Amino acid sequence: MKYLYGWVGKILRINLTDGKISNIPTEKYVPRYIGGRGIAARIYWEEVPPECRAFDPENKLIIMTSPATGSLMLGSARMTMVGKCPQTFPLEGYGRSNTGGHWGPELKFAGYDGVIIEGKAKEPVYLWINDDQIEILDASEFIWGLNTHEAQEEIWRRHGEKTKILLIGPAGENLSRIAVVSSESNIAFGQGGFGGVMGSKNLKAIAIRGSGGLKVAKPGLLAELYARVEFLINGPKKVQSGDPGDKIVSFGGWKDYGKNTKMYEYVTEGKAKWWYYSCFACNICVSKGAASKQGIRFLDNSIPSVTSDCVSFGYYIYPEHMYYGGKMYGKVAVEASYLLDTLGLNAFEFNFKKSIVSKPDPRESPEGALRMDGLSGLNLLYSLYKAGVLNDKNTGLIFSKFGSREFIVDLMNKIAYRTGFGNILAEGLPRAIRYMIERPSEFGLTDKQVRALEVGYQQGYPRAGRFGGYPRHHFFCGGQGCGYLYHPQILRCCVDQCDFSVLHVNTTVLRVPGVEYGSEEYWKIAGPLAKKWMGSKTALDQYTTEYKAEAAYHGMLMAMELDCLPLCDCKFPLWYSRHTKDNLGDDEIGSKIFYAVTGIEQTQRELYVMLDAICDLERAIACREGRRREDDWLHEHEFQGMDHEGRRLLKDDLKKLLDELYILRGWDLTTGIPTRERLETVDLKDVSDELERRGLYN
Amino acid sequence: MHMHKRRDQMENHDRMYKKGVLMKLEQSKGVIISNKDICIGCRTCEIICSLTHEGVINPELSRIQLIRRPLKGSEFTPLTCHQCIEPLCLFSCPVDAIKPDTVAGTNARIINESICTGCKKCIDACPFDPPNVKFNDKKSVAIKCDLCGGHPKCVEYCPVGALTYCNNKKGDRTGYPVNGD
Repeated sequence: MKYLYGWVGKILRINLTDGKISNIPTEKYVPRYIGGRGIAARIYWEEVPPECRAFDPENKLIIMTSPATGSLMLGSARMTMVGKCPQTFPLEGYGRSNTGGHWGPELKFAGYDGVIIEGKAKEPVYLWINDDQIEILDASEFIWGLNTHEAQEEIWRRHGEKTKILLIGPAGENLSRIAVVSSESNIAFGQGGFGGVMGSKNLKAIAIRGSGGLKVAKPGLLAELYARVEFLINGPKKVQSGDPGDKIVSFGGWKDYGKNTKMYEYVTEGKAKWWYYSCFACNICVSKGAASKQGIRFLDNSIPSVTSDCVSFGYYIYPEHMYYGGKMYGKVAVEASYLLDTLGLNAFEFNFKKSIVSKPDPRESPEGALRMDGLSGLNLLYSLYKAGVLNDKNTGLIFSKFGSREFIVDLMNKIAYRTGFGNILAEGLPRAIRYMIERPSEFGLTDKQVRALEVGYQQGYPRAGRFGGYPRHHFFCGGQGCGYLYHPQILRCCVDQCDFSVLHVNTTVLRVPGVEYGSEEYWKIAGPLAKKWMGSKTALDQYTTEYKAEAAYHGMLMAMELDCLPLCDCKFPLWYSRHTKDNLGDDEIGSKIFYAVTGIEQTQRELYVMLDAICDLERAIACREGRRREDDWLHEHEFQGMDHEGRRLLKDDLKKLLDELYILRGWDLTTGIPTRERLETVDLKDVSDELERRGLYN
Repeated sequence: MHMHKRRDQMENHDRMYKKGVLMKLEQSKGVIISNKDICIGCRTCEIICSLTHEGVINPELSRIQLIRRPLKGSEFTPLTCHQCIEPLCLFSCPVDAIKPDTVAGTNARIINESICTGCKKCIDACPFDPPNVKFNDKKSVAIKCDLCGGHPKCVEYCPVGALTYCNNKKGDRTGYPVNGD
């Protein structure tokens, strides 16, 4: 094996149908496809036929770490999972998810860069990977049916506490399209519905233990880069991991809590303790500047403790407050998080943002019946209930007690176990809504209510076409209070196969913490940074379509970089630092880390060229599965709102921007398919040959 | 968490103690203390320890050991060598491979890998569970914390300051109290 630094040399293949275990040399795919999402995309292209359905045995779960996974670098613990996604709506499509934690590094220590799971076991099984020892073991008498915490405890009892485990909960076992694959507590491959894919293969868990190691090419340089990144993010002092003070979950607009919460009271009264969770080699989520992976431990164990990440912790905080009153953030919110985690469901499908309810949308919806800012999950369910579309009677859910403990326990269990209305919701809200729209008499719906359901769905899941089904995320246009700020986001949403923003916002939207967008101070700081990062400060100008396609293109490359090196989107790209004189982070940190880990010298530009080809490969995969230009569009809702100065997202503008993006990317203006010329330029002639064979160029 | 061994295993300790009194061993000048209440379980200590000493990232070869329990109240406890005043590992070594580090001047109890035969008597002798002496089965030698010559890397790299290098001279028969015990 030529490439021994970073990569460890083997990709494991496990066939659950015939029990065959084999491996392929990683060097078949590197350095060209780098790692993570890049290698996984290439394997998917080579091995998963387009007609394959998500729950077919022919679908594969391709779990791939990256060269920097398991090394000494903040944000390097990530790994990508790729496969045909059950969540994509209305057609299942190629997609990916990404997570951190400690499983990826352990896989490297066991001697593998990735795992390909194919086929389907006859009975429930789990995998035990212990360096060279790989076994497919019975799970039916052991862990099948257990929640994710119980199952992990059992595996630790049998295989030792140091075992790292990827697993599904009851939601995945019951093939929910919004089930996750998770590890420890709330470390999850969230989007895509891969939990259901794993359940369809009768695979409960992948347990690993590795006693080997990882070599990096330039340890001294890597240590320097580690210190540099630490400084850029955290400044010169150690990170505080004790009392979180004013910051308790900096997500969802809940800026008004912190010390003024029930949870804080519990801690000061000595009934509970805070603790922090970090992924391997990282502390980003613990620091003041990022989303917080925070946990609560009740000292009387009255509620099992959970860790948190953004939505998985915060999703029921406001509903609880709405129902019980008093201070925010009590035990019910914690228990709701625990439920989500142990049942193995996707938090983002249960999101509930306070701003939606407390700050009514000044626009009336076209139907005049709903007031929604267009979020998915619990916001959507609640809004449909308030509008009289859903009620206790036609769903069997206790909407009249929305926000109570009773409601969320009932809802989550029904979804995970597919009972009653939960069987419909387990399909994900887009499919659930379509189900109801097609059966109005069954649900007692008037025409107006049917229309409201359709509008609600569109508002929550903005991408139109055949490959939507992913919730709105950091993305608004038209009259939603911030004008055209997110134009590059709009383009990213149009062309993505999943949730483009899970690569969070730093790849396209350059926010300066604590500084208002559009202010003189903002332009003074962000203007030069945007010029350095994206080529022009016009990329940040929310009132012009100029330079937005370029910004979206650059965002795609940065997103692919994070998923291939890997680096965590909680803080990367490091375009901004509050600790440097000119506020510049480091726009070449990716290529530097790649060199320190692998020993392969690339300029940042050269690295982008490699990543560019992977973007085209992914597009080719999507097109092979039927995606075309008409799928790169947004629902009607996105073109209707006006901002306070009467500006709207115009369809002509979006068409023009897509044209620009296609030209930059070398995709055909009519079909949206990467042209032969483009694919040959990026050295993917075999891909264009295949597309030709399938008639895509006719 | 970092348990003492059973009473019957302490007989060996008493025999070793008498030998130790005669040897008049120099006390370690420092010890690494950990605070599990602020540890975030990131394993950076294990990464930098193994990278520094073995040139490879492998927590199995780290001298400091992080016990991670991420569920049920989540506890992360770094376990460090006590640099015992009467080090049983040192006394048990049949070839005197373990000595105080007088070169760096810390008097940390360090293993000379070129002398070590890999017999594992030091690992068995360590009164703690898990033992603070580990076995490197790639090189067939015992390994343990050497305080990095007085500037412990794990302390430097811990991002939250859960580890401190303590020059406190307090101690008892089994060395400095560390990890809250």
